[in-house]
Amino acid sequence: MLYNNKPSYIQKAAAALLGLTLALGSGVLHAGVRDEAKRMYDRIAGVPPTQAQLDAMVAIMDANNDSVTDSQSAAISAAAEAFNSPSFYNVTLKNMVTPWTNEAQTLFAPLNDFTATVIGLVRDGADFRTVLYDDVVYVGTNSGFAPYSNADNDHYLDLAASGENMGDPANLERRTQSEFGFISSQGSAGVMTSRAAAKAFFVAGTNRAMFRFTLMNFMCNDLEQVKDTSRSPHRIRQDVSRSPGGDSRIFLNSCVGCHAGMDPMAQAFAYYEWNGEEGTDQGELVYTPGQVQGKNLINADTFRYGYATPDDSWDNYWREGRNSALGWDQTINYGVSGCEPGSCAGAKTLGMELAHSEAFAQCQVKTVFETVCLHQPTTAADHTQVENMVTSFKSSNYNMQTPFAEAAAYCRGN
Amino acid sequence: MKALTSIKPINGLAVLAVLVSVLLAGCGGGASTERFVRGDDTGATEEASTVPDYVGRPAETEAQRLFKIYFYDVYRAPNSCGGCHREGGQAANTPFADSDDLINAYNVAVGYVNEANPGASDFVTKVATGHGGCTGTEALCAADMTRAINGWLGNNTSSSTEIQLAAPVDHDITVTKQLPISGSANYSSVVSAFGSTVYPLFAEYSCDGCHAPDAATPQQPYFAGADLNDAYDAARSKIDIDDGVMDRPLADALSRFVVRLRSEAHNCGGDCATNAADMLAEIKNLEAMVPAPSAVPANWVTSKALVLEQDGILASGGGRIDTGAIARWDFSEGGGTIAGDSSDVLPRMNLEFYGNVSWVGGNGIQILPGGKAQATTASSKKLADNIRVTGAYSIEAWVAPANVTQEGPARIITYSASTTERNFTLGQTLYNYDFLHRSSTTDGNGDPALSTADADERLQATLQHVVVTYSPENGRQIYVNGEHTGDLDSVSGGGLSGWDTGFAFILGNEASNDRQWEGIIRFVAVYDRPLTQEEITTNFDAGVGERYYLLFNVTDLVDINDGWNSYVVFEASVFDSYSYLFNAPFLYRIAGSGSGQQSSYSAIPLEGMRLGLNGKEPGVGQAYAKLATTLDDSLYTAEAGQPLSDIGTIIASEGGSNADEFFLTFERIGSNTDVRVEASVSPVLPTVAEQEPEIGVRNFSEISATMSVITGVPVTNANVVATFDTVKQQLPTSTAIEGFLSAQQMGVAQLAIEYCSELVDSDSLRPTFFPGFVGNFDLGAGQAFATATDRSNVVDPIFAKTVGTGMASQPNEVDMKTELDSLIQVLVGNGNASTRQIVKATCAAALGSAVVLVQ
Repeated sequence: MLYNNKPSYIQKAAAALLGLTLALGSGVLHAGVRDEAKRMYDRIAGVPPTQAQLDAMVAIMDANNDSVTDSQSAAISAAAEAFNSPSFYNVTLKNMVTPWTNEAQTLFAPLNDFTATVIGLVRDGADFRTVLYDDVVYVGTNSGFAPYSNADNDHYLDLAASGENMGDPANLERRTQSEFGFISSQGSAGVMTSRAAAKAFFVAGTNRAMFRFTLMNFMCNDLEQVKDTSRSPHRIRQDVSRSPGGDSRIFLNSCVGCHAGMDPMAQAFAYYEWNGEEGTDQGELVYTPGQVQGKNLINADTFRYGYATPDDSWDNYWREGRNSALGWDQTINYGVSGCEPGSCAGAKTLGMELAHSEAFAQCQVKTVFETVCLHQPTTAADHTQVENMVTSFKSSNYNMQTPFAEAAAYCRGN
Repeated sequence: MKALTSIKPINGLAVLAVLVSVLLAGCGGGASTERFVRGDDTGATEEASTVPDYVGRPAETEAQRLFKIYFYDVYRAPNSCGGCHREGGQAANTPFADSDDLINAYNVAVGYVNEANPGASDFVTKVATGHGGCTGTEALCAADMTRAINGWLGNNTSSSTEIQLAAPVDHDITVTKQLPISGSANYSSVVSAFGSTVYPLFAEYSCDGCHAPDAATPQQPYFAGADLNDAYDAARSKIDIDDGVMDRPLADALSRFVVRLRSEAHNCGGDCATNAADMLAEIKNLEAMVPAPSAVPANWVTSKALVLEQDGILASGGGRIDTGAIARWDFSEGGGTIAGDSSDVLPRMNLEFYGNVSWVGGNGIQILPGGKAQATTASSKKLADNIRVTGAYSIEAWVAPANVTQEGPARIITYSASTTERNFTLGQTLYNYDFLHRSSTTDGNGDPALSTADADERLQATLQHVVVTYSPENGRQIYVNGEHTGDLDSVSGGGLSGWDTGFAFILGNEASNDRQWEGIIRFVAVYDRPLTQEEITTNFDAGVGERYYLLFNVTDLVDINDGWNSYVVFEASVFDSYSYLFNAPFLYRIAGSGSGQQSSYSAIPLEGMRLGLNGKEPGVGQAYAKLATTLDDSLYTAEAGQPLSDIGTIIASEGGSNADEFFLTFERIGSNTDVRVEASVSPVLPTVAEQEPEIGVRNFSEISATMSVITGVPVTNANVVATFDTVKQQLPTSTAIEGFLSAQQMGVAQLAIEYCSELVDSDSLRPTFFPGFVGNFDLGAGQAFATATDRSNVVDPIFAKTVGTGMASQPNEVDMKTELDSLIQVLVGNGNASTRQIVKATCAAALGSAVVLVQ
């Protein structure tokens, strides 16, 4: 490669490059409209705008041409120009979502159906809550790609290698999971039943991983933040030792805090399994309606007086107690007869339970805020902005483009 | 819960028979042990040698026969109870050990036995409290006496144990101080007291660094948060107010806040003891400020109260198969430094504790670093003596390994002399059980060992039933929790004649003290025969430790007025040193005095049942709080009552099984209601902190995409892809500018050079990007960059594409162009680089700079 063959001028180039880095880093910045527009575009698309794109944004946000942004709403409108950039989909959204799709939370995981589906839902301005319960998957349209399959990820590897713009509906289209035949519409639950999620979170173990990672990625809470030892433990499965190492204090003070709430909700995944070996790419999502997967009943002798999973019915005991603060929907309608708020069956309705919470909306907004502003909300103004963005997110019927544009406008600098 | 059958109401007493799936054909076998069986008429035992032959009236009933075998022939020896408790003796008024008349002795003895709870018999109480005649430790004598009574009552050997569910003596609930919950009386004053006593310590100990909702890494519970009410609510379950009420010393304090500091060194550095003492002092100060109640809260709907060991009806003991047990330890002593061998085969292989061995609740010992329990080589010899005769054996144990990291194998049970010599060893290697055993097909160290498969992870750090068997036909077999592991012995069965009788039987370590195992052992038995799968299943199902039935009286609550008493019955036991197990509650009814048949009833609600402990409702473990069922005579059977739940739960212990008082509360039962409605919790307001940096860096894929946009070289370009795959892990993954490293800059530079190289080498992109320099690319460097205009034709498009125009936040145009122009001149002056190389370098200097990197 070039840099191996010609060290002398490369070294000089690198020296000059570092000098520029330092020069820029030490400067005090005073941004004008063009600077604001550039930053908004940068933050949404991940790449800088062309001169023409910049001019177009400036024309929107500074219509009176006084070098001052006319209004916040004008800035928001200008920011939306960045949604036309392929990089918003192929880079920004892909980077945001990829860590959600694997247990190691690595950014370097390949493109997959989970990531592509989130990208598609954002692109199409869909009600983003459906990401956890709709019968939906986004697939490439290029007939030269390997076909979408439950057995491998080749389709998405081809899509990624092609560099095709996933922001273009001609390249990436909405389909249903059920039409591919490996799962029924009733069994589908948005990205939770994507192949990538199944490979990552239904593999081996007890399927609790699917609950935990969904909680982390879509509710912005790990179990540590939601543990509540005061919930009734009667649904904690038999495989949880009540006396780890012979010391039941560990269970009573720690384990029960997560399992009492998690186990009755993770029961929604009782019919799902990943049939591949852990650590390999091979395998398929398996869905057996009416038949509890054996992994839910393993290690039953660890505490044989515990709960044995009979079906995929779930209950949300966190609607009471300290986790009522997560803002559960008191009037939720799962569309399933016999269900009451906080109690139903199957992954689809559990996905709806989670997605219709206040915590879900806040989580998406905070995630977008951090993606666009490059930092967590910290100041009073940041928190107010987040609250406002949550309100806008809801009123836009949970269109994820809304918080992206609003966050970019808020963090455009001045 | 086992099936309950054969109910026989007798004057307010109901008899339940617990059926156990035991083949009676298996009982009474074990020919090799017969010569040692206690009280066997065919041969004197070592221990029975001082007992005179019995020539009086023979036993007339089965109970008398068992009494003779298990109790009478043991204790009527002149050097035991028989020395005084006989006609003409010093205690002639209680001649239960009179060697002349079995029947008279029996009739006296039954008056001192608690059939429901043998361990609470007067006999046991006497020897446990220093009564004469006990030649060992009091704990050992008491345990022996209990075993003798259990044998007499048929609890040890019967395949079917009758359990009498008798109405207990009801107690009213003992009222104790409690920390009030939100909404109850005194709440605000106690919260205030909390704020001036315990709460300030949380800040002093920096608990608020984590246990606060606004902490950098928030961890529940948030007892150190800024809101005092919320902090109190979170702290309430971590304070045991009885630490103050009973003025417990530091070593005995049960408040979680104290335990975490005192025993677990939770983030307290070198000040743990001091901090724990201070915490306990403040908890006592808080307790002093909590008003003393006169009754449990008036709204509670409660049952009567019971104490486990005083009021419980013993349920366990039956159902096990011990035939062929040549050594057996149930660890029921609970004190002292010796665990007695309770088998019927002499000599007794009592285990003496060395080092760090302690008793645990529910019968068991805990082996800690430096601890082991060992029999003498002389007594251990009986294992080799018996097993060499039969050529087969089994080891059965209930163990709870402390962790899944010990190896060696760490010795759980061993009969050996050193790390290289053994007859057998049951050991642990991480998640595996290991079974080493000496025979003619293995070596003197028991190798090759039979181990459970790594992938199965059979061994877990929780209470497990493990059995290993050996027979010449089937070799070694391992069973965990009643199930054969499927692991196959790699060698065929051999002879055991090579067993060494000079080895010692040890729990927890090797004889050489260098293969420590840590964990809890609650039962061990060695058999001189291989147990069958069916027997192993039976013993696993029988469980370990003493189990009781607790009958909570709810007669006054259920509104069934037929003269029968109604009870919610739990099977309860001491689970470990820190908790009780309550399992499978059912409704059970016992006829009252003069009552007739049960009346019919239906649709009687029973909802929201909670266990109460010492006047309080424990906050953790309330597995029946969600219970919602109805009492209905159609669901009631004489055999099993009406099952209410098949779930078990554990409840933290406080004062021990002989002191802790339990009761039940109900949200709804019959016409009584006390519905609990929890207040919803508001979201925690976010914490305001300092402004974080407005700018950040592009991450790895944004950098590549940006370079692509600027140069026009697609990200899918093969050379770019190759370089990107090489350096992407070196590029920033986070956009936080504080995390940027110089090593990442080198990755950026490499990628920039690749893009610029592809740009300049592309016949289509190059003229578009550098329209004013098209003709110069094929000239030598000196000629191509001869004039300032020539150089500007390179520098200007680079600046325009990477920086743009009209932006104050970007690098100064003159400064940057001057820098790039200087770079070109230096490279030209060196004379080594071609024109294209110099353009690539100039392009890369800009493309790899902060202009691209920073956003």
